[in-house]
Amino acid sequence: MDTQLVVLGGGPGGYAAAFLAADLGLKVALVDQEPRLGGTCLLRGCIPSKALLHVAKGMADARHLAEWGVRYGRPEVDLAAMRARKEKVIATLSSGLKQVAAKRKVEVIRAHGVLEDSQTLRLTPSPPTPLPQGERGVRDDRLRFEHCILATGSRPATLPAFDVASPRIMDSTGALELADVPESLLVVGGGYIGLELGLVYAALGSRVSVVELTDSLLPGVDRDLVKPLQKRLEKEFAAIHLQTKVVAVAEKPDAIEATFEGAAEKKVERFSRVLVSVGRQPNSDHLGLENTRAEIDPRGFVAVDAQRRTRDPHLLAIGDVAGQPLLAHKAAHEGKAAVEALAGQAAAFEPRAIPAVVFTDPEIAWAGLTENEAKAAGRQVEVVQFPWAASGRAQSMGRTEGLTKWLVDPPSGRLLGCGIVGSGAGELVAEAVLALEMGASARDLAETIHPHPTLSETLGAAAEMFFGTATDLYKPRRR
Amino acid sequence: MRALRLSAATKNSASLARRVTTEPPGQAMNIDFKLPELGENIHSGDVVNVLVHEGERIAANDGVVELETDKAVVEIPCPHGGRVLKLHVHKGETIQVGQPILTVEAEQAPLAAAQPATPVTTPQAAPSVATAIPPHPGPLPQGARGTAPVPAGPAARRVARELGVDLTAVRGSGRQGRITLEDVQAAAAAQPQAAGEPAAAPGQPGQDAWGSVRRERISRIRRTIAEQMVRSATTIPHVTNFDDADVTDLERIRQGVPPGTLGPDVKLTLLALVMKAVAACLRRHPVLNASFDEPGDQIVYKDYVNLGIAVDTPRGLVVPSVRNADRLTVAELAQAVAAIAQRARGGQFGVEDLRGGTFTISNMGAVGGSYSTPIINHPEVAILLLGRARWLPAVHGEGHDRIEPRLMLPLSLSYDHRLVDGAMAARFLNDLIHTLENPGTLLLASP
Repeated sequence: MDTQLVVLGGGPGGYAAAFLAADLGLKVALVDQEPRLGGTCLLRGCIPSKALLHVAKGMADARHLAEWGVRYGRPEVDLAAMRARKEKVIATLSSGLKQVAAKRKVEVIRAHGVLEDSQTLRLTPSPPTPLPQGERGVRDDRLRFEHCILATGSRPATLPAFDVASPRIMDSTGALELADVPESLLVVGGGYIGLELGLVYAALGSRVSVVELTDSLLPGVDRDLVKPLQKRLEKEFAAIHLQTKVVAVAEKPDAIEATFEGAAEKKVERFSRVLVSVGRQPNSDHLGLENTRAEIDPRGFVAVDAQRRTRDPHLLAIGDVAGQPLLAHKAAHEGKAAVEALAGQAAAFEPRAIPAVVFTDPEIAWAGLTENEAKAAGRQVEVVQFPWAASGRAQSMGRTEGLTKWLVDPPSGRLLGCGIVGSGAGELVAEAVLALEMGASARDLAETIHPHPTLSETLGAAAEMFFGTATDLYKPRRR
Repeated sequence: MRALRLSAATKNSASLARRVTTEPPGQAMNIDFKLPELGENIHSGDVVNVLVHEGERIAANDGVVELETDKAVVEIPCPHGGRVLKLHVHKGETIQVGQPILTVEAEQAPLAAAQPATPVTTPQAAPSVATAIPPHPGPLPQGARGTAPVPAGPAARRVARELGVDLTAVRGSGRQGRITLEDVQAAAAAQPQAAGEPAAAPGQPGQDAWGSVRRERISRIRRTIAEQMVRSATTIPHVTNFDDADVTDLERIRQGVPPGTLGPDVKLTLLALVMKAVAACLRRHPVLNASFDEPGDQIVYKDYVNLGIAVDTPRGLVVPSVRNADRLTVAELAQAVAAIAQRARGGQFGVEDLRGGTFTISNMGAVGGSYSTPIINHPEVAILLLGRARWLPAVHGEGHDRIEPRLMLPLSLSYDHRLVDGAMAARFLNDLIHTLENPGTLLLASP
């Protein structure tokens, strides 16, 4: 046996698992085909997109100051400097991971791994180029292990209509490279990735159009949370086409010609670039899973139990490859639960709430039960909300479009879910996640003193509404 | 200054506390409750008990039948509450997964009623919930749809998993019924059989400080065996006598019986002959066939001899009993032993087969070995373990001047020293040896 544990994939799930396993005294190898650790999240996902959204928000905030009497001139954008600054963020974090791995004596192997059987990983160099100094590549062509945690993540999904070899058509990875600021950009798919990147390019000066197949942006997210964002996007974007499909794209000399078909008439339009952001698909193929007893569901996710064990006693799976939601923080917690279970601890991945954040401006964040889910399940809930227009802090920021709401179990008053739209919603939702994990009630939130004047007060105030009235919001008593 | 009360806000106030009322109309509807999937490779089970009757009103997740499967006896909860209109199964029947068990006239729509089996614990109800642990702790209610979440945080939930505590049955001492770590620990302490028992992920490969280990959840059968053994070993002062019986002649007689005499597939085994001898001896030494009614300060002498035969099955040790063994012929005993062996292979013993024994014989001979110290099958008072008969040199002749090879059967008799004195046990064992060494006496035994 070469090693006790192999973690295949060095993203936030994989490295969290590998590091904890090393801390628990296991002999661990972390296999990743990238030259740097961090996976999609760090290299071409969460982190670079947030770096660029930080820029976009700063530019928007500066513009916003005009209504307070402060005017700046037209911003000058140095794209090379922006790329380099974003690169620096990635490089800092990735080298930090490398150091931490070394300190923990986690053997990092840069290779592409394919399972030959339940206990053997065949390693091939990936890519077959010389490795940087001091890095260990493929040591043996086979790695034997007792257990392997699959943390291979996901990749952008594609659509056959976009199977056109054109540098103008990009996925989220391409968009984050920031090759240029196209004059016009078509974003295909109104999910969070498309909207976040669409906002970045809009801030930098592109005319952005979004096409979405369903009748709303951010399908699945509660309508009342989407509404304030949609209002803002209608101002920032050139066009939002809902219930619309791109049926064809064709490469023209200096543009991509896209044909729309939808609720309105058929339409042909030209764009400098197209961003295809129609979801992600799990990296469960090309892993050699067919040589093991692990099973894959119809959507391509590896089937796992509460300890993230697959049907194969030697294999576990975490993160995007192990199912929805495809979120880094979910992957990291799954990784820790899987390793603790391997170590014989009473661990299980049984969260009550996995927070989700859309890092647009305003941000949208939710945790636990949503109204859409409650309706689908026929579950009776009480929805109480607090509009940010009644928040002193929101007024002082000029950001009154926000909303904070709780879903409450009517007889018990226990909190079931939380939804927030507004500036900084992603930070605010953390309190809601803790409340849900603790099984808190509306009373708990209402009587927890929130600092004034902050947006966090809206969480307490929304909970107060369960009892009929809040300090800053008058509503005739009903009980 | 505190925030302003705004017209924008009051304008919205009408919609502030919307209720999403998607509760289905409260009309009655009939629901067939079918035997759900019970686990891998379990396709059917025997109804050991029907726990409800027609016309009875049941709550959602009430147990409705007790089912014995290959693996265990389990109580099957019905996720639908309401009035039992019709029972489709009866005791003793074998039912398949998917077969209807009963029809419920439910007041709730099936969607809401079919939620995961976790009792609703509302704060209003919590104070009346005793701290006692229910006999069948269910899974932890992790974000179960349709019930309010149990007010316990991740740390308390993990400790509950570790200690095997069912949080739905724990009364929280904190505000709003919040279950603290201390509450979980107290509940575990009040539940001695579960305390300290790692509830972690059975079947899971893992590590301890010394190497790789694998945990496996024990079966119901194994749990029963464990409880029986502890009870017997801790309440009965065991004494074991060892001896040998010369079964050379008995074996010659056994081998003299042509195959097929007792019926097809029935072999005359040494065990059947020993059973005949033991049954006869128990009639003559009734205290070894008795039981101890300890609370009543009484010895219960049995006028019947039901011989329990300890059998190794794929599910673990079971002890089916042969009824009225003293009144059976050697042929009938041999047939009974053959039938037990047959059923042991299938692992199919009913609860009734396992009850009512008065004395147990454990036959180690097939596996090998000579002596052991068997543990008495409570509430019996003695158990006889047969080793493997082997040829030994025996001293014979008037002047002890002749050594002969003799087939010797090792016997280990454990007895409850509270009721059976050493001399009584020795007399019984001597009688048994005498009977086995003089097979002619078996001819005189009744019937």
